[in-house]
Amino acid sequence: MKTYNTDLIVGIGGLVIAGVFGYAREPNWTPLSAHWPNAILVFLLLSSLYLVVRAFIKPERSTLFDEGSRVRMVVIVALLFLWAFGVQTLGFVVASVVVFYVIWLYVGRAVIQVEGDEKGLTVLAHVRSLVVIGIMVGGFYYVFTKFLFIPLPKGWLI
Amino acid sequence: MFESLVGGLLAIMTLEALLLVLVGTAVGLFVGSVPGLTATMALALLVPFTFTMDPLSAMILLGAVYVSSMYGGAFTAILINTPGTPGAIATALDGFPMAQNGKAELAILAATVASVVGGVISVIFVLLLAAPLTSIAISFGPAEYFWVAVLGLSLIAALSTGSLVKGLVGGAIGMLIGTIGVSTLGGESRFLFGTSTLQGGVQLLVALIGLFAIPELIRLAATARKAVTVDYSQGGEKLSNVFKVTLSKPFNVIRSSVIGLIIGIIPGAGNNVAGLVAYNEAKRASNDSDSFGKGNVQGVVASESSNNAAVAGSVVPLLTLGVPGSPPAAVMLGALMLHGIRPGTALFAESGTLAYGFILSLGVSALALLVVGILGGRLICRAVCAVPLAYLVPTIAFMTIIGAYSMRNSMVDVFIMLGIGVFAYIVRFFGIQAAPIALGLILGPIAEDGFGMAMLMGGARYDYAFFALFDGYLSWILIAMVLLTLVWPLVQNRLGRKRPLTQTE
Repeated sequence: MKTYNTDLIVGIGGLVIAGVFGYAREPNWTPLSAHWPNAILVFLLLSSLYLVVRAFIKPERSTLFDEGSRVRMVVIVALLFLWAFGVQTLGFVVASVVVFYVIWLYVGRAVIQVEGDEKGLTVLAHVRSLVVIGIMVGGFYYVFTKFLFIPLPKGWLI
Repeated sequence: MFESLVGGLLAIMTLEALLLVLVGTAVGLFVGSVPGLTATMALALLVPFTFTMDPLSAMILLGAVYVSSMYGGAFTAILINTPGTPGAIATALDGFPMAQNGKAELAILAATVASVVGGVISVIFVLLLAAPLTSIAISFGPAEYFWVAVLGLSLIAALSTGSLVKGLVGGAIGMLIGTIGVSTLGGESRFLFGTSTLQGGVQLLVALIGLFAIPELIRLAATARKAVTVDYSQGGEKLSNVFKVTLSKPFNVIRSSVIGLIIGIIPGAGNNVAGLVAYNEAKRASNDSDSFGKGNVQGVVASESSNNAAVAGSVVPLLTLGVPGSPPAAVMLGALMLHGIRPGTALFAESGTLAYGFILSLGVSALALLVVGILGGRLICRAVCAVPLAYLVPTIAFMTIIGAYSMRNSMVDVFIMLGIGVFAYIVRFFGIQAAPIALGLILGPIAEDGFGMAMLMGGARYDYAFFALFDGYLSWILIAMVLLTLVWPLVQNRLGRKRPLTQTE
């Protein structure tokens, strides 16, 4: 499997982060506010430079994103962000029920694929999942709004 | 004192008081095991329910919630690598690897026993040594806070698997994230990147959920295989074995409990720091320090005994000085004042039964964890192991989203949590683990505040302001501990003290 120079990646990444935060500093900060972040930025800069130099002398190499399916990694991240956007726009209950079901279906199929189960997801499994999801989302919505007094986002729907 | 102590003991040995302990334990367990729900929030919500109670009953209920919420954080830390409370972060370091190795039940039960022992030891210490412990608390100045944070940060060296420099880069990134928002010393807004939504900074729990839960979630979905499985064909974990394993190193439990107690007493340090420092010391003192982070039960024991001991510690300044040692203790201070009780040096003389009864009730609450934890711990462990992956993944996602949102009722926190989580997942492949980032995030602000205030004080006292960092014997003790932590692995290697991992460790 192809390996990558992770020292170079972290070194450059550290320099980029130090650059972004360094650029975001403001000149009107008092020394009390400025000293600590400045010290961290200098430390990050030096550590990153050390890694960049090491990357060309004795680099550490390893494979990247080699656990399971890369497609599933991307899809699950997309679904998580979709869930968050959905909660904001559609509302907590509707978005949660929909995305929870989609993830259940997606991961369920992946497990079947990995384990080689030929039966697949039955109609009963779908019905059962919807009941479980309904109880879970509804239960948490009720506890949070009625007992914990945390108003969950309503969006266009609920 | 003896009369008040007996009076307090009799007051908490009633059916009503014991029921309150059980109710509080159940509520705290729920709160602690849901990432995002905090003990402070639960206590604040419960205070109105205590209006009709007598002051001691109110404090018993609130104390039980506080104690068990600290313990509840261990469940998610062990089973899904997500500390339910910041105090459980060090529990996850060894608890989750244990669960991955099929020892989830042992990890949970060991955490239970350690929590109980830590809780009871700290109550005994508080009863016997409340006055001298208070004097330690008030002798902690900014320089000491700074060195406590540095001591915790030195753990990065221990937590970095592979490259130390990459661990340090992770710690620096965590500290940078911790500087986002309004500076507590200077008052300026820092690193807002043109948006006011970052004004409030990055909430610690939001970041911790992202750092630990999201990478695990992505990994579970990507591999489509469960990380935690337990083989019950040989029956469950034997209790005698759990006690034997947990208490096989009694000095570890006692040392961790004392560390937790002392750090709990220091206002502002909190049990998250206690867990980390105790873990660090357990690792440093162990003959088998290499196995820490890979599933060494003594790491779980150190973290849990210390974060539970910190609970009793945090009530010492609350009762003796009227200064709360932690945010939950601040809510309890409010509850005491609402009941017309003014904490302070006179409290033990004027309301001895209440003061001693409350302290003793923390011990009873710790003992209640034994019953609830052993029964509930097994059930929760089996339930999580039995849940199909297709349900487990969206359930964790659901809990992370609702947990992050509930911190400030803000969707911004959810997006921050997801962003940090995806970042943590990616950089893990490059050799930067989540733990050093979390350490930087937790300890960076404490170090900054301590350093800044010490410099201000030093500027007034000395020609060179930094002399203030070396002022006082406590600072020197902490500096010695930092040096010892950094040098000890080298000394161990030189002495060739390493020995193979034994089964009980």
